[in-house]
Amino acid sequence: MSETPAAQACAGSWTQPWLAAPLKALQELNARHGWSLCAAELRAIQAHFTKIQREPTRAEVETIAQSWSEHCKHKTFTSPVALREGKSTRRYKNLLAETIMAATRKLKAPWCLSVFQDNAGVVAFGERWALAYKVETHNHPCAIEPYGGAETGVGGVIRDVLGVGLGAKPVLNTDVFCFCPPDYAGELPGNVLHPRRTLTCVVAGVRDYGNRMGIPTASGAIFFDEDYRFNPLVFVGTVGMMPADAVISAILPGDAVVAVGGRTGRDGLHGATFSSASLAKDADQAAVQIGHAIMEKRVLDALLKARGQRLYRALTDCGAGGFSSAVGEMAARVQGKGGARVDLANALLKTSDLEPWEIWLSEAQERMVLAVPPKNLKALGELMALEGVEVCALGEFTSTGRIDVRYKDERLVDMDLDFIHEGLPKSELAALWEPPKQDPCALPRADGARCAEILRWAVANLNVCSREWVIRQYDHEVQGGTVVKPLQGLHHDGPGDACVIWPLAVTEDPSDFRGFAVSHGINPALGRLDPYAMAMACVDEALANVACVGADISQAALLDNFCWGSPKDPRQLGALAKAAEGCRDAALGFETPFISGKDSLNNEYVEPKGRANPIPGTLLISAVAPIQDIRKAVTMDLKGPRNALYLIGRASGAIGGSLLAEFLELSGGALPEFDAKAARDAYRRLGLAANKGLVLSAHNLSEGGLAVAASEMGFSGDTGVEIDLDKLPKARDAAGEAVLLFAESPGRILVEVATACEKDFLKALRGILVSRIGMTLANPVLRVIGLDGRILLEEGLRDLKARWQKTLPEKLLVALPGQNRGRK
Amino acid sequence: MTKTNGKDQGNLLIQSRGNGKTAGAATYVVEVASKLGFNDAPGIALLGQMPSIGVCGAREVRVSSLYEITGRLSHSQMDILGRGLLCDPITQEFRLDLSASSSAFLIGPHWRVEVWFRPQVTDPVGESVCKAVADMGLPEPDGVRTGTAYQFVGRITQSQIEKVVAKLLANPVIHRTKVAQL
Repeated sequence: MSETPAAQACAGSWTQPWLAAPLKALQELNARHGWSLCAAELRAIQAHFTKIQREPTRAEVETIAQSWSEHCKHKTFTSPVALREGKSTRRYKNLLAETIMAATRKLKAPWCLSVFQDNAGVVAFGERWALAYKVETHNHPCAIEPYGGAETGVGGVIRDVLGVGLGAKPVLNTDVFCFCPPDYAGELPGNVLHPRRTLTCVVAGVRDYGNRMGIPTASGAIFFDEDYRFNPLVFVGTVGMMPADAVISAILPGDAVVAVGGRTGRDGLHGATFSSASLAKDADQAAVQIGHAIMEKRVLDALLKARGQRLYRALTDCGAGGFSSAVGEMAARVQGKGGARVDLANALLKTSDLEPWEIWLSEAQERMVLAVPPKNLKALGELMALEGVEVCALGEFTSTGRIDVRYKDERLVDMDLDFIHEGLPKSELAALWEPPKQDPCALPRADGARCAEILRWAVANLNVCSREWVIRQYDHEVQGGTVVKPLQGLHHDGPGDACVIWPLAVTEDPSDFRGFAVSHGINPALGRLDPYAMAMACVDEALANVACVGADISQAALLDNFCWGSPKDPRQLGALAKAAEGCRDAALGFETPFISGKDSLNNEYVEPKGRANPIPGTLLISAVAPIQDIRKAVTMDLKGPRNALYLIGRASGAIGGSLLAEFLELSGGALPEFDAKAARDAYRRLGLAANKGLVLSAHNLSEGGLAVAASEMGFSGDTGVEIDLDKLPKARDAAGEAVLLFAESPGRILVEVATACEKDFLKALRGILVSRIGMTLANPVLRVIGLDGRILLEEGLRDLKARWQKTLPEKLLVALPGQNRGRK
Repeated sequence: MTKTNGKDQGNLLIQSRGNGKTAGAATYVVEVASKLGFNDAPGIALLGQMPSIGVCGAREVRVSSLYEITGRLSHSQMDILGRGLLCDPITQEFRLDLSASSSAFLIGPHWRVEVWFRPQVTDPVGESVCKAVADMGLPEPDGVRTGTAYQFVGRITQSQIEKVVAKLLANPVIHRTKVAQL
């Protein structure tokens, strides 16, 4: 431990002159202290302090470093970007504002209550309530210490939702992972954990924190690819509920700066600046923390009580950057010029040997910062004491426009808020997008036996197979509102598209049957070929999933999470910009706004010799949509024999990025064209039809296309399926039977309708491309009629299900009971 | 006597050093394990994982929880703690002394690995135990640190055990470990 740069920095005192220092000396300092500042930023700091004619203190530089970090400022995403594509160049002054945020601005959805400004996005839920949703990543900590990293990730996103407006009560946790396959047998450097271990420990961390907090973890996804072997991705999300009048908060000068919750210790210094750095061989160990769910639960309960009594005016979570970030952000929100005056001698500490700057920067977990009117301080202290939560008043918010931090008589920080929040120098970043070369690949022709082989391989594929081993570790039932569960069907083991939550635990009104559905879309395989198409497909998948359970996508909201390699590489940045453009166009096409987002860049492993291994550009789209009556929610399992099967949408012959392409070992492949407007209309109508009780089951066609979706619906309901490929609406290029069965064209949903309801169903979907492609059978088989009218394949669903179920436990080597000999 | 919280390179085992007769603060190590016949899920899981890193000789693995409690507590008060707080008396047993023999703890030759948090790492379970002890009306301990003990029976060499520790049990970023052959 003592060899790490952070530890050296702790020990050495601050005697570094800045004003006269040459850039090289500053860069050396930067590397030693792990600030992750670039040359232009170091010069800007030097210029600022030259102007005010004094040396910066250590705490000041640290404050600036974390405020300007990728984690807090999203500096790449908000930078000017010149995107060169072919011979043309598009210029963005602020990439995020002109793509994703611009779509939201243009859509002007009245039910979006707070977008892109607070700790989470907030949408209306009926008239009295609001939903807050936030998804973020915790990749770097999970790579180093998976259990603690996952725990603190979950804890952090819960606090984000708790810290939005006046605070929302968490009602659902979500988790999405990207890992290397757990049976990876290749070489890994000594400090990189094996993916099997990363996966099991991350799952354990998410499980323990969510379960101990009493929040259901009911929605998620896992994507496996070997390019995540150095940098696993861990996305955690929380949905919270709050009264509609608690969405907006305001801080007045004179309010006390109050810290509640855990004590401050030396844990997790430099987590924020750490997010700007890529993982090198000697990762900074001080960035690791362990979560304390029970403490956070107490803070949560106490704060919700205090919110009820309006004891505080605003709050925020103490995340990356610690007090410096939380107090700094709140100071900027104070009415008037803003500002804060803080004496760190008032802070409650875990150990007494902390340097003052460490108190200011420590990222100790489970802490919140509140703005409290002085007259309420006593009442707040008493209320917190009842829950066993410690409170300390650090200082007060002011209207001086300055942030003024002392430790007794020692002045640590005395800076203009303007410089901290606006002083970041911006320079135009170069981005380049070149579409990968398309091999003209002949579309595969396959006979029945070959199609059956592909199907058996596809259901057992790591990216399709059952996630039951993971899901069953999570408590997805706590709070009693999980109406549509992550695993569905006759035996509660089918792969649901989305979960539906009935937030009765918050609304306490059993006559109110409104609920909401949450789902995700992720497709890095497609992103390798075309990030723009990936963004479109992800938005489509997330919205199709919530439409499948019967939610109303006309009031859906989206969240984006970008995980990318180094933005210094123009190709990486070009792909990122293309994905952002895809998000914008998908949002406009579906008329669904983005309400919150996050990005994690520099996800690459630099080998000792300097070769960088970036992750595949990964975009996670999360959707939340209201559902008018949870009693009408639909699951994906077939409900019985002799029902009609309808397919919404059209298959194209493009199989780029699909499982079929992987099976055939085609690296390129054409990408399907996608009409977001048509998909939007179809999903809206499907939601309405479900609300009328016309839909028995519905399942989105994702990995493995029609064949896998039909198999999943069949084996989840123990009901057979007969599909006639001749009845499929086809694009001109989709000729082969294998392509019809396995193409992953977006915008398609397979729906089961009772024969008595067919007429009404078709009426409800008038104007939508929907075709009757088959029937359900009593015999549990998947029977496919080929284009020639003969049976192409007939596979037993129980066998397919067994294959689908055993992949993950086998690869994880999860032992079965009774194997511990001598101990029976 | 081995020191529990200092340098940890020694191969000797942490020993319980409780002595209710001294007036000052004492340090005890409480070990909690599932009774013979009850499912030891972490042990079964670990046994299943070991072949994946090429360690196949193990016949049995047992996992127990460790609590290092420092405070002004007597031996009989520690007994109350063990029974009433740290173990589930139906499915688990505890011991304050490594030499205490019971069917829940291995007697024959085996490898023993202990994994503890490094001193500077937050130990939430330890903090909760501290509070819980006070809630039981006993003197609040000065500190509680938690750890895990793994016991391996079978044909395993020292280097194999070290491989298991490095690949499956401990992360040097937050853990320190001790290995001993008993």
